[in-house]
Amino acid sequence: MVDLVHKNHVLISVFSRFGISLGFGDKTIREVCEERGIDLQFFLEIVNSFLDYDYFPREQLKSFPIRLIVDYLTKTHHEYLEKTIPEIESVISGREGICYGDKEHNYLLNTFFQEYKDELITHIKKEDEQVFPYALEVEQCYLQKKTAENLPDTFRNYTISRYLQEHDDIEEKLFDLKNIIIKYLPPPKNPRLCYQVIVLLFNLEKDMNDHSRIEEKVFVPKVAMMEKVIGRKNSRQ
Amino acid sequence: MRKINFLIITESFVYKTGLRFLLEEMSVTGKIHYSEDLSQIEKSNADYIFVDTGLPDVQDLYKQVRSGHAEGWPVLIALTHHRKDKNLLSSGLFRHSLDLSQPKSEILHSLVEITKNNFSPNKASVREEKLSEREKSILRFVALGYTNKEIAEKLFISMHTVITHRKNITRKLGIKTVSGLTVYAILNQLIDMNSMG
Repeated sequence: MVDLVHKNHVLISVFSRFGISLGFGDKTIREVCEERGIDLQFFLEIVNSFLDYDYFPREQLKSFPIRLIVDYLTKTHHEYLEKTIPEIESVISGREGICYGDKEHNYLLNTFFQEYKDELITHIKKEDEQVFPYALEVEQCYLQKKTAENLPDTFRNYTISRYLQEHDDIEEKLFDLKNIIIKYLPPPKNPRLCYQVIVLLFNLEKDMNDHSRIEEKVFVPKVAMMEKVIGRKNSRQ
Repeated sequence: MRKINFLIITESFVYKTGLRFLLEEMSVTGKIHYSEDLSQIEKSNADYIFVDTGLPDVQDLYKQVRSGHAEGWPVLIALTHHRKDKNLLSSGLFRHSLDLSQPKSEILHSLVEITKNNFSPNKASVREEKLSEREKSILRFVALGYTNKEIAEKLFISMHTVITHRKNITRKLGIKTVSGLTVYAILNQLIDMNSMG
């Protein structure tokens, strides 16, 4: 376990989504997982694909129950909303000091960030409140070999294909935010704070790429496959 | 930019992969070919050929040079390791030699020197792309919240042209979203802060 952290300390945040915190002594990965009732194979695939971008065992990941995948994705969302975003916000909003000498520049940065944040929150809420519960219902039907008519009424007109489209804009905003700070805003009054923001943004971006890859390449195709089996039509009826 | 092709002649896996790694790091465009023997030299259309001087038949090449065969050959670079073989360069066979025992920074520096007539080592920093006046005026409208259709009507151009301009703006600035473009427009005094919706 310790070796993993030495290899890439950013994994600590991945661990926390599995309920693992620091202080694991010399325990092996297996021991830590068993202690906490974590699916070892799932944990390993998630960690490996996070560490190595070229390693992405799509089929392997799809073989895990939706419940596990949703649980991991939901915990990641929580972390974004409760830790990552507030952390960035507290620096950008000027609570810890002002980044730029000119009031207008601080205002622009802050406004742009707020816009990004609002969009992200809306998106995450939608996934947590609609997409994930829907996916879990589909899995139930699938496992009990029932047909799509047994889905709750609230999901009557829902299909997973409708949900993919929104991802892009959120990633693009984050990309812009970085470039605006790096290229277009004037040299900051407080470089240290700006640097802090940039590091946080880069970390968030890396994490989100990994996150949306799991959503787009594993979660959505798996649900779509189950929709097909339980006889859910892809077009709205 | 012209494509540069390389040929690496060696039996050594480590030489091959190591050189490829370095060339890729210099973001050279073009192909890298490999060969394990010297027969390829005259046939190859590569611009630069790296030759492992540890190969057994390198001596034969010297003989060819002495009898005047080497003219018109591509640029040959001798790969050496810790060895200062004066004959290598004085023979006229190799235009350069590359000592692979050097630190990475030195080798990269030598590679840049060797190939400097053909490409610049850092493409990204050389490219300076400014917005044209037309692009600026389109950007102004985008930042003010106009749709592509409205912009097309205002400037008497087609929607298609507007979209092409917008793609170019995004590529040049590295900003993809409308709100990002708005921030850029304000920072560069293309629009007034107060006109932001």
